[in-house]
Amino acid sequence: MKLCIVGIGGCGGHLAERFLKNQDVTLLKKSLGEHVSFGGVKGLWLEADVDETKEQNFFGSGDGGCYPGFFIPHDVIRSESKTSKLIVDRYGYDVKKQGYMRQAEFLKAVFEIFETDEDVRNTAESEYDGEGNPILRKAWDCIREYTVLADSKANDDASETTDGILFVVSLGGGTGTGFINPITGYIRGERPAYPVFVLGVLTEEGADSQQRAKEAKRDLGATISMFDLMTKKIGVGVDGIILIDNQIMVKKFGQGNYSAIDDYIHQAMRPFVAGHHYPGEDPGSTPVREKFIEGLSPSRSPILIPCYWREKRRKDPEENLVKKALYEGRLFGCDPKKAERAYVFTRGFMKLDEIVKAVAGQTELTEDRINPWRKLGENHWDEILILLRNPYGVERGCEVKGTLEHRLHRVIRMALKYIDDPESNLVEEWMKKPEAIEDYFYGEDGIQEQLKEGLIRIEKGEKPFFLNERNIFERTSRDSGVHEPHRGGHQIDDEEIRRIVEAEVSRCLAERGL
Amino acid sequence: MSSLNETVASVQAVDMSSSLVPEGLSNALASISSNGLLGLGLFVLLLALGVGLHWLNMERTYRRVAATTNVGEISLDELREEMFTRQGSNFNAAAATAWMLLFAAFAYFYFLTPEIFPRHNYYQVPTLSSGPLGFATFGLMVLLLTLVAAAFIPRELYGYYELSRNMKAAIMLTVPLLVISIVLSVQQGTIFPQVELGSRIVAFLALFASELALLWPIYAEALGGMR
Repeated sequence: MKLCIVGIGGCGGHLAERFLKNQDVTLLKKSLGEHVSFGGVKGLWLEADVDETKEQNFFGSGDGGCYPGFFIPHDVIRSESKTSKLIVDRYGYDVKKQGYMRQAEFLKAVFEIFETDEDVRNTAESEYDGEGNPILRKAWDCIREYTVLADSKANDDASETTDGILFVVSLGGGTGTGFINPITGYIRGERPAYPVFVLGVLTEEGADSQQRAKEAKRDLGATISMFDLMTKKIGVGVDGIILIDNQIMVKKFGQGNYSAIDDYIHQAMRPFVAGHHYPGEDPGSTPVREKFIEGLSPSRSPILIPCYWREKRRKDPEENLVKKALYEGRLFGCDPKKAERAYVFTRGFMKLDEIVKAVAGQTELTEDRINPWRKLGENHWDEILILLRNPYGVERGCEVKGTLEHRLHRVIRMALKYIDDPESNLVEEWMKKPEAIEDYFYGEDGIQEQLKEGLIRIEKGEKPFFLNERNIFERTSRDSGVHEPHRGGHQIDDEEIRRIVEAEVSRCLAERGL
Repeated sequence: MSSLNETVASVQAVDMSSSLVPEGLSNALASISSNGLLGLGLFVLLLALGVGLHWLNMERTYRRVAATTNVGEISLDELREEMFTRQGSNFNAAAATAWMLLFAAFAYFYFLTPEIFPRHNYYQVPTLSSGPLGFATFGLMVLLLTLVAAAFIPRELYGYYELSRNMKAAIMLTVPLLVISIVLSVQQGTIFPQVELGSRIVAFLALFASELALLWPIYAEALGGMR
């Protein structure tokens, strides 16, 4: 699986930079040749704030033809746009706002307006070449160019394209948190079976009384984002949410040392994104995706907790690496014994059966629930990354420090505290439909109630802890809930899926000379 | 002509007054750098060692992969394909240039003047060495002769190793280092039959340091693999 790395928002951009760094040498930071990234990944940065893009020099303007490039999707909306004016007049939202200052619900609302308000869609369609949601169209067009779905490149040079997407976001920011669900939903409208994963970094806990208020606001953003990600059905939402707790990173590297944290996160994810598979063991992206979603009940996007370890090469490293990764290398608190499945990515020389045996021994998973993928290592190091699927679900586990339940219970409690706080001003004066926001937060089936129910489920050890989707705006006239194919793509039926799979299988067999 | 060369080769004007290195060390370096057979042997030995260790590294990887796989025989071609790493065109261009310059610097150092190999040197072809392009013809000939090898070596050698950006930068830096070596060798040719020992030692060190740097990824992999 070769991934397209899409950094969204400030933190996502910094992390994406690590993944996309040119491995080639450059003179005066100018490369005269091709851009070579680790693992052959491609990617881009989606940002909402022009100023943020000016404060860095890694990404150039994607619209200006730079690679790696940043894109500001809402730039597609012209300032004198009728669509923009209609949204301001009817809802009060400025779709060209620069940055979202940790307001996940702002972008959620904006994208829902395009999704649900037929007048807005019609106006947008008349203004933007028949496209009812031009912001997401723009974002997807930018991403699509680097995937096998690209019209121009795909058939010409497969080595230049990617066959899966990894969104990299901070959970608790503004842009990343707000963007991730709408863009995924949009992609799914065209490609329900395309592998899409999210690497979400949960912001750290507040340090003092002054920070606590900020933490609660961040936690509300993170909670809304996780809620939306986790309540989507497979085929509508992402195929896995890889969670990293910045609190653990901060403890390891020190407060504010974000550069070292980003480097470490990238290092930990290298077994996942690396190429150099063991000969004959490159499974392709679709079978990998199927393993990730296999046996999910209910069929909702699962949480994946990364556990990583590396050490100098030695004889029979499997047992020690697995043990260290699961108990000393967790990037988010969890209980490995509660995991539903384990996806193991190794770099180095390791035996498949020994890896499976070691993971089974440490997690109590049966061997058929452990999926290892081996890659060749480098410079005498052995590395292992174990992604544990939904490794939580202990009754009163939220009372035990270091568990996923404990951390997320706190985050949700902080979010609820922020919702309850009258000073939070979640329903603001400029909003033209404050009742919708009011209902979204405080209604009978509003997010507040859903979160309380989520807390109870965590306390009982039930999973998943978020169950039902919750939108801000209801559809005005279009019905559905079913994703409509949007312009530029089309609904894929079973026959087409069969054709695609057959073509892919034929290609793989031909490559192997069979 | 040859007896004249031998005669003038024995004339050495050594000015050590400006040297910053201890006299004993500089004398040792002077004697090593002036020993043609030793230099030639060392140059070839380092290259041969690089080729041998590269083969050993590939063989070791093959054995390790085979030992951890239960599916019988591993296809060597498939393994090589999986191992291959794109290092980037900037680096590849710099590495190819560096290898060409390495051979050129070696030729300039040992075979330009009659000082080291009195019977085998560019001065034996006075029509060319005294021609309008002078020493440049010599360099161009060597570059042409090594063009194919230099284009092939970086891909074969570096394509199977994970090179850090620092390592790549070090390999790229051999280009100016080798240029320095060539310039100093040309200077030796210009002032011949006089010999400027200081610049001769610098040219020698630049040449062999570059050769080591160019082969270092292979040595490092082999050294690490022995642990």
